[in-house]
Amino acid sequence: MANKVKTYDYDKKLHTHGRIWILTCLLLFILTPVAIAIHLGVAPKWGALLSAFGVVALIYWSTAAAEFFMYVPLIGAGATYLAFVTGNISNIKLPCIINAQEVTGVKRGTKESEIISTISVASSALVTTVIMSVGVFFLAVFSGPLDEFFNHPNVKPVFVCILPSLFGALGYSYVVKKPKLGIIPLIFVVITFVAAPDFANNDSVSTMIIVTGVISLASALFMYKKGIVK
Amino acid sequence: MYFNTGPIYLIVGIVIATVCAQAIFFLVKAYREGLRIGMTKETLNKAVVSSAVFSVLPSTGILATMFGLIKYLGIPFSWLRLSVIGSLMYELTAADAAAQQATGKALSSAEITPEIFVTIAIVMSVGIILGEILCIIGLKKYSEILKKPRNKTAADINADNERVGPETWNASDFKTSETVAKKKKADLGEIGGVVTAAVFIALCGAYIGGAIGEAFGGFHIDSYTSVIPFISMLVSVGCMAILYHMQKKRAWLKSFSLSISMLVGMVSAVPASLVLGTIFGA
Repeated sequence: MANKVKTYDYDKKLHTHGRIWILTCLLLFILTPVAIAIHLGVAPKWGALLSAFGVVALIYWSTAAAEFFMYVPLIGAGATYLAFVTGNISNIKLPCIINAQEVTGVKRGTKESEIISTISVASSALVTTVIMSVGVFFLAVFSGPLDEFFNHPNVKPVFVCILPSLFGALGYSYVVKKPKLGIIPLIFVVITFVAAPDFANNDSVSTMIIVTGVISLASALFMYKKGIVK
Repeated sequence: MYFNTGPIYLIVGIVIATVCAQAIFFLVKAYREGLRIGMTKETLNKAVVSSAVFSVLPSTGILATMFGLIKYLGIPFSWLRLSVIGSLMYELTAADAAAQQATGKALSSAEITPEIFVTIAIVMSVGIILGEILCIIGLKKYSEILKKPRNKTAADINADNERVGPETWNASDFKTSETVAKKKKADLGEIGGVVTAAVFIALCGAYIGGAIGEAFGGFHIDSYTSVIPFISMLVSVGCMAILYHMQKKRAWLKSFSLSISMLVGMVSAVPASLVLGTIFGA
């Protein structure tokens, strides 16, 4: 009998604990830049902050909402509370959970699988943090030579190429899966950036993300409705 | 640099320690509950070890991408951003958008003053919190809805009610047939996949366009240096294409394809600028 009460306790308290932890971390995430601002004795540029936030929210809030509804059924509540703080869900946590569920042979959707998911996310998050911290320790130790290296004239072009390299490779991985979705937005960006450099240039990419996003979404939904893409 | 100082390491260290504490808390709670409902220590340990081992490679991949951030944000803040929710692409999009709105220049050419740094830091930190807000306000309700079993008999439900607790569900909740629910779920998943792909293709497309525009904007080439980002983008796309096909047989490559392609693309800027510099002069 005591056991029964306890089961109910764990499930109910899970949400209370989860909420307290996630709220604490959320506050800390927001307070970190504030603390840094106070430490540096500067204020942010509010206008720029709001418009940049608009760009970021447009892209990432829609995907965050989609992720939330997609991942909860897959990983369970306990793991979700942790995964949405520690991140890297699609690239580390989800494959990690699936692996752990297979290794332990639990049946999906059961309480056992929820427990395995939570343990899996927690262990994974700790390992990522340790690896990142060790890396950071070495980077910090060598930060002097690192600075010199970054400012070497032969190395400087490397840092102009971070964004094109990252988004080129990432773009390929999306387009190769759904090539039809790539056609209209890619033709659009090539034409605008080449033919209208006053409007579309490297310094206005953040605005162009919104314009391209609307065009890409509209064409994707149209193609989905017509059955051209699945 | 101002962003690599002790106090910033300290601030960031506190946050990362708290996140670790949360992970340990959940680990211990879940482990104990697992034992209590009759799972063996062996099974639970298997989950810990397999997950830890599984995470090593992709985590190293993330560490490699840190080079993309520390030049602009310093070591401690990059450490924080890549240790908590977010990703290199998210952080760079946020940083670039903030730099562009604040200075009118792209992140790569803007001067990151403390003021701009703080602006970027706030945009990054606040721009990603929706998932957490949804957890706070909706996760309990959502997981309760998900736990409602379909097509159960009233007797089953009553038995379940007794086992789990009184307030969870009742028989009248099970009007939806399983097939309809499954079909709806599949449709939602399908359209979700299309929307996500469309949004990310647009995001990547805008940056690809930026590199193309810098090289050939207005149908002319300014100087050889303006073509270098375009070349490095092509190299990274080519590298990704090769790795993408290789990873079909070598699954472990998946964790590294993006970081390797990005690094190869970035580094290709060095020979590209040396070669083009020799041919076309400074």
